[in-house]
Amino acid sequence: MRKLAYTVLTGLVGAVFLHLAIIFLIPVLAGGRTYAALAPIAGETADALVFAPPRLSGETPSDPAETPLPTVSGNDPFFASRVCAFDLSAGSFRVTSDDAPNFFSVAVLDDRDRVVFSLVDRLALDNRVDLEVLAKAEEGRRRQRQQAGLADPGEALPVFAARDQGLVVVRAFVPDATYAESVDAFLRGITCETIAFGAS
Amino acid sequence: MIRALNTVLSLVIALVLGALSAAVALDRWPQMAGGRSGAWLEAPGIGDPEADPYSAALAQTRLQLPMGEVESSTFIAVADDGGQPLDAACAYRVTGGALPARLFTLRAEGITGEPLVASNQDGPALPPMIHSENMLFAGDGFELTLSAQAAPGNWLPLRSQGRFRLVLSAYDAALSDATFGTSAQLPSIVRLGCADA
Repeated sequence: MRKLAYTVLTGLVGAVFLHLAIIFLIPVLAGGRTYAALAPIAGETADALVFAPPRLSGETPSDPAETPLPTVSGNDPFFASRVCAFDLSAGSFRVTSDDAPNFFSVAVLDDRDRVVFSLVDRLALDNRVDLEVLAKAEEGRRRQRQQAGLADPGEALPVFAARDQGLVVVRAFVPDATYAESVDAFLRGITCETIAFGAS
Repeated sequence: MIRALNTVLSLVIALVLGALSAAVALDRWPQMAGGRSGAWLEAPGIGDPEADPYSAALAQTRLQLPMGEVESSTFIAVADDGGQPLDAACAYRVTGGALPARLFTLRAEGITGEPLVASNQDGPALPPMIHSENMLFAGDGFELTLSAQAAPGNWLPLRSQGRFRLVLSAYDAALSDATFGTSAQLPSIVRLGCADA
C-alpha cells in the first residue's frame, strides 16, 4: 500500500514538472508562430500584405490569383491590417504612409510575437505613419546625434527593438463599406524599406 | 517486476496528468486569468512582453497579430449579468455609458472566436457587429438590442444558433489596461427572453 502511494506521489510530482515544462517550453519552441508564418510573405518587395476585414469586403478575395493569406484569428472585423517584415541586421527599417482616412494604429512586434512598441494616430504627426525601427545598439548613437543638434527635425519617430527581426503591423479602421477603398489604398500605399547602414 | 510496474505507473500518471492539465489550463486560461468586471472578462495580454507564462503559451497556440496596450483593450463576455451563458435563441439588452476610449467596437462571435453563421434566411445576412461611430447615443449612454427580430434603435442581429460571446474592443483608451475594466463602467447585459422559453 505504501509502495502504491509512493508510486502515485512520484507520478503526481512528475505531472507537475511536465505541466510546467509544457507551459514554459511552448513559447520557446514555437518562437513566434505568427512571425514565422508572415515574415516570408511580408518582405518589403513582396506584394502588400493586407488583411481586409472579411465580413465587410466579402468572402473571397477580389483577385483569385492573389496569394491566399493565412487566417489570422482575433482580428477586429472593423479593421484592415498591413504587415511588413523587417530585419535590422542590414540597416534600419522605415515605414511611411500618406494621410490616413480614419483611425489607425501601429504595432511593432518582435520575432517572438511580442509587442515592443505601439501607437495610435493621435500620437502620430500629421495623421501619417512615419517611424523608423532601429536596433537597440543604435539608441546611444541616435541620442548623441540629437544632443549634438544633428538630428533632422523631420525625421521619423525612432523605435528601438532589442531583437533584429520582427513585423510592423498598421491597422486602419473601416467603419463601413464606403471606407473600404480608401483604407485599402492607404494600407497598400504604405512604404516599408530597409535603409542600409551609412545611407542615413 | 513490481518495481518496474511502479515505475511505469508513475510515468503514465506523470505523462497523462501533466499533458492533460497543461491542455486544460490553456483552454481555461482566459476565464481564469483575466480581470472581471460584471459579465466581462479582460482578454489575456496576447503579445505583452511581460505576459505570464500561460498567456505567452496561449498566444502561440494560434496565429494572431497582437495589439499593444496603447492601441486597444479587449473584453469578452460569455454570459449575461445573471451568469447565464449567452445563447442566440435569446434576446438581450446591452446598456452602457460612454467609455473612456476614442472608439469602441462590439461584436457577437462564436465561443472560440469564429464568425457566427446565419441559420435562417429571414432578411439579409447582417453581420452582428456595431461600433461607437454608427451607434445611437442618448445623452452619455447607449442601449442596444441583440435579437433575431429587428429592433428599433441600436440592433445587433442574432441569426445563428447556440452559444456565442460578445467582444468589446476599446481603441485608444484613455486609461491603461490595469484600470480600464475596473474604473470604467463596462456595459451591462440583460436577458430579455428566449424563443424556446
